[in-house]
Amino acid sequence: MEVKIVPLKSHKMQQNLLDKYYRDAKDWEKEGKPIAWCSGVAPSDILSSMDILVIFPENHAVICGARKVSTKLCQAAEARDYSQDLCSYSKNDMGSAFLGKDTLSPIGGLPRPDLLLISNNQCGTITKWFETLSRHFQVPLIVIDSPFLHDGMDKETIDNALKYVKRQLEETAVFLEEFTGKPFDIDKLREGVALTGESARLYKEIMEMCKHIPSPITCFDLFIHLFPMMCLRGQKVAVNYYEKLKAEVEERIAQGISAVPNERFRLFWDNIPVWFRLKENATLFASHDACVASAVYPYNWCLTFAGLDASKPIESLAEGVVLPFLNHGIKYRVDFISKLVEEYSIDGLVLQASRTCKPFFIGQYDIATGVKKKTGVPSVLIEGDMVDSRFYDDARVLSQIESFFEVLESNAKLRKGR
Amino acid sequence: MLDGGDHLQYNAFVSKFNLPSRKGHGMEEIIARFHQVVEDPYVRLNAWKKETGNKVLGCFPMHVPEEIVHAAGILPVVLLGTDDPIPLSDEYLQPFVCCLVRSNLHLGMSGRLDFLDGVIFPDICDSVKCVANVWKLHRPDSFYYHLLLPGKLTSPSSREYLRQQFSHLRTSLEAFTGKKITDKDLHNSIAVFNRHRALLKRLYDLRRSKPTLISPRDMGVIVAASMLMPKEEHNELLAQLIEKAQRAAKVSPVERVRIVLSGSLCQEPMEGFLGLLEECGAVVVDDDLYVGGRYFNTPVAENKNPIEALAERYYRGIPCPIKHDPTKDWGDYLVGLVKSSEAAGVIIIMLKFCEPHAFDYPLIKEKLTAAGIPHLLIERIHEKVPSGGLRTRVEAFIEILRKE
Repeated sequence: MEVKIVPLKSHKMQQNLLDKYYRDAKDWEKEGKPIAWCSGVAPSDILSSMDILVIFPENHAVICGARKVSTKLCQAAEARDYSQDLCSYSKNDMGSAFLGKDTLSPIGGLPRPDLLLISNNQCGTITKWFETLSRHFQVPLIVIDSPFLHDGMDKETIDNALKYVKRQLEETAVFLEEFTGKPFDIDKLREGVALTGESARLYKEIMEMCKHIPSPITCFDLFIHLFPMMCLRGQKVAVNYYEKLKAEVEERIAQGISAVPNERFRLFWDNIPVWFRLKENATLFASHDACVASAVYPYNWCLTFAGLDASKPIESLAEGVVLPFLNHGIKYRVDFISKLVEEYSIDGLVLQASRTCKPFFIGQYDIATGVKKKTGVPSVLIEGDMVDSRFYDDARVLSQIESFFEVLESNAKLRKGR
Repeated sequence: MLDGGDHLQYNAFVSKFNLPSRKGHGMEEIIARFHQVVEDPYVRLNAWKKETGNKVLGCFPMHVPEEIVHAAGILPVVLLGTDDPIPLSDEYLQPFVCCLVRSNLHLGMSGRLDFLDGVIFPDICDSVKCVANVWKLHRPDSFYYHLLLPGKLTSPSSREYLRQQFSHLRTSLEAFTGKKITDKDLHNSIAVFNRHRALLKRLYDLRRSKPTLISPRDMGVIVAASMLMPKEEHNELLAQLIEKAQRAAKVSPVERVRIVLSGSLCQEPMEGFLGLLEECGAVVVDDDLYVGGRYFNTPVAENKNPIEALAERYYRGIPCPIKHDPTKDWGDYLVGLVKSSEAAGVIIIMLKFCEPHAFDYPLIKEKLTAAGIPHLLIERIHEKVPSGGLRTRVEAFIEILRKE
């Protein structure tokens, strides 16, 4: 069945912005200006306020994954004795760094860092990955250590965690003054945090438009448009971008354009996208009249960044470190996702069990049963990985998805029959 | 609290499970007692609990400051998992997690750990962190404590946070038992644990000088037993063993290959593997295993604030991949260990799916290679008996070392 999808015009805008970002980074490197590599949910704003360019190796891994060179980069890391079972984002990145000029990266690899800054709020693996980079590039590594918010944790413990992170940010500011030879500028940080907050709020508003039945865009579109919120934090260009994107999506609602022409099913995507199968997955779901209307992944940024109070930038950044989705226990995730299922009128959950991302796949069985118990909605668990194609079997996934749609179809018939 | 009166209660553990008397009172009889302790430990602990009325808390490996639990009058027991079949783990978790976590999850969900009064989960890695919350969902009616170990040791803020966490564990245990834990209680417990460390160190020193004195399997059992019984009683058995060991001749007429074992974080090496080493004619002269050198390394200072002192032990000790501290290098440590024990080579045991170890391995390999020290990497999976492939690799490695 041919499916006519109206693509977002903003995809082109996204591509242009991405290309420009990496071109500018290369120029920055040539001019000898300081560059830092950061983990995805690190408080990178503190670096930007000191005129340090921030690069996100995870975004680079996404690009490599989407262009299907990631598996080979992982193998380059494995050739240097890094286990096949390790996080594929990390091996993509380390592999590319080890290969240097011979990297298979479609953008020719990343500019050399002068500094590394991470938070372990998304996983402990980030620390080990960046320790390797620190040794490889012989540059300092700053770790913003975030305690994990286990289920049932009391307010005092959470407050102590926030205080601890705040203290680390203050220590980092002192370090950065020495490192850059410049004074720490809290006003500049306020401005940057305000803009980070603004772009996250806009992103969240766009995401919420998917509550509209039928949805004007899918989460596959939202995944593609994560880039500015993650990599162009604190910049006016990201705010402008999301204003344009929001306008286009509003226009689609006004014109009655549905992302999936004959939307009959609305799905939820758990875990990281399978970056090398984004288009294929989007097409597969669309061919079943299914729109992925909600997903958990963007909440790692927009959940907390959208609430940033720029008047208290350090406290806000601390919240941005401790409170993202992934830094929570399993019961929290079940409740969070159940709420989204209700708000977005979801019919089924697709749980991508990323083989090499433990913080995301551990607890998925409980998410499936817990959400079903609360909302009655069924799930399918598909085995995959974010960028390593060796862990993704197309035929198997297709078969699992087809079976899942049989369940959804029969559920729909049952509802009609009442 | 441990004064003379309470000590008698702990005695019940060993006396209850006395072996029938044997001819001779050599090392073998004492070692056999340790073997008894590790055989079906949870059944024994459950019976002991009922008899003595003591509380028992399960501690996930690694780094729980057991002295604090001990000072609360509670027996800390390390959850070492199992190599027996673990079908339940697949109902709760995908298989891409280490066998220590999976086997403990199976044991927990099967009800075999229900005799525990609670579990302490240290945040040592993503697997334990996340699985702790899966566990709590399915076994909600227990005392749980999350030890929020800082993910780095490089800043004043992180060291302060660690001290805070240890203090918080103390106050939580006070609330749990309804009894105050005084500094004196902590000092007493530290003294017991330091004695334990000193005794194990002595045993390891004796073995280094006469490596056939204690087999690799027996040494593993001796350390594991200490994680499954009151330290006081283990200390007594150790003291007796050391006394006999000092007098034993045990020098092998045949040249043995001297090996250092490294790694096997959180879990004991497979039982069958340690036996295999002996069969191949190797002796273990030192190790940095968790159920080994890592457990008793570095005493706690006894002349300062006990919480401070416990935190300080955490900063120090054998370099650990979950303790982010660029001033420490596990590779350098291992090279030093090999040299000081005059070993011919290293066997590294890495739990499959253990990310922290897997990230450190390439650096360790680099350092060993640069120092000209041969090594063999073994991936530890969930199995009791070493596969044919593993057996061949170990035999071949030992042979190569023998010829050098």
